[in-house]
Amino acid sequence: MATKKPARKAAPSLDVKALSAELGATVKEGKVVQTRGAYYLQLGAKKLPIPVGTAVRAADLAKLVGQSVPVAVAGSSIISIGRNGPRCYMILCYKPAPDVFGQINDAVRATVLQQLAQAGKIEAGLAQQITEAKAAVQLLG
Amino acid sequence: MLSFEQIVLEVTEACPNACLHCYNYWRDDRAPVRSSGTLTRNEIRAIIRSIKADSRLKHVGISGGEPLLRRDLPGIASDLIDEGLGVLVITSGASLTEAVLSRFPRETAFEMTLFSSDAALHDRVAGRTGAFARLVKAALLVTGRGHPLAISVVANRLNAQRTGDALRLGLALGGNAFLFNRMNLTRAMLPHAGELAPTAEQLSVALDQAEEFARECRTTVSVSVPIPPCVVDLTRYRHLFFGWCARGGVDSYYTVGYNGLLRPCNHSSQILGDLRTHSFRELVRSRRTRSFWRPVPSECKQCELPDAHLCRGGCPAAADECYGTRLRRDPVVDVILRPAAVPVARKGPPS
Repeated sequence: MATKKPARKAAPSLDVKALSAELGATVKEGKVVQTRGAYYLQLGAKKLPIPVGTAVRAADLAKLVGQSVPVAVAGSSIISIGRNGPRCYMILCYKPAPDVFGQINDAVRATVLQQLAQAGKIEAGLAQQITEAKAAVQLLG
Repeated sequence: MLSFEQIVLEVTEACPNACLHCYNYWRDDRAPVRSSGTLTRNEIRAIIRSIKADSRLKHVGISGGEPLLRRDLPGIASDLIDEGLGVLVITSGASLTEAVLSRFPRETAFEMTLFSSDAALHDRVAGRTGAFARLVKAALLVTGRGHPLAISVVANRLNAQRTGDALRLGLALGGNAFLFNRMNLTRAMLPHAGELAPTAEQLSVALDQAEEFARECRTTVSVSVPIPPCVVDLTRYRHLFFGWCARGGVDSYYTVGYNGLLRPCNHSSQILGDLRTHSFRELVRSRRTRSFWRPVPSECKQCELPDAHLCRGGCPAAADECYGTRLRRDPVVDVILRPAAVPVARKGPPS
């Protein structure tokens, strides 16, 4: 019997317009070009260098070379390129911005705790303390 | 309207811990919780309202010292949340009891600094016996009541190589945001940097462990104290998000001291002015403030490494604190790459 193929989950996309409104930037159509190993954004007659590093990776830019893409710019700063470009997290020193908070499965937490205890990285009493506290919370709903 | 969205509010300089690598410039001369200059809850509310009127303020990081030493902290957090702001309390967890926690609004997020999964090592770095046990208890209370919890692992030479275990313990405790920071340097700490600052190899190992943790647990780790790319190649980390000094840009987080004095950030001792007598707008737009952010060290201007445009010499506040000038690069670069150029203390690290 043929089984139904699960629907492919869409990759989370970046709402460039919303982000631009939020950041006070404007959205333009631009083209990513590569010249002598460096990446540039062609915006009309302007050619802006795209700095490559941990925030913008060369491999991601290579996929966009030659394509027309929406670009959010504020002054001479490029804020985002493309529809699915990774949004940089706002990171503060010692203070994570709220969008850094994520959801973690309870099963993952339990497994990690078990691994720490089994490897002797934490004392058995601490593992038990954590397990009991989590169980009490679950009981209370 | 200024575009800044966040500030740090240091409600007290007092702290029961004595972290080996504490970066606060007042670490050896702390104002007590109740000192004559301490802002009252009403003064704090008025200052925050004034900053909000001048900017797009959305988030306040309440820090210290140890903010929980203030008995009116839940009320301060409530005031800020009533103003429509996001609140993050940055604490060691000391003195957080169920009764105190129950007075905080549910929306309050907490951040706790965990140095190690090993209780003895955590206590040694925190400079206080029992600090680990208090943190564990506080973290379980916080997550048990459903507050968001960020776990920040701060690495020095003693604990850097056990970063992965500390992050995992943070996750097991219920953390749902993770930070990895290298210790930052100050004038008091610089002569001891050779004993306390992690080496390049230790930083690489710590970052490798943070990357492995993030990949395995399907989360991310924010690395917010700048690690200059001349110290470690950061491009190989796919699950870590590196932060850089915003240098007065939109992501800057000006810091309000316990007495209403404004500073460029929590690492700096430079006073930009008094928020009780001047508006946030006036102080931020002053020549003094603008000139604080301007210098990029000449030795970094020609740097072509990845992220050089973001790094721009690392932490300017650390350079300012250690060398008295922001024309030099982050002292961590010298400590790691040119240790002979760094002054050495004759005594052991301050305890």
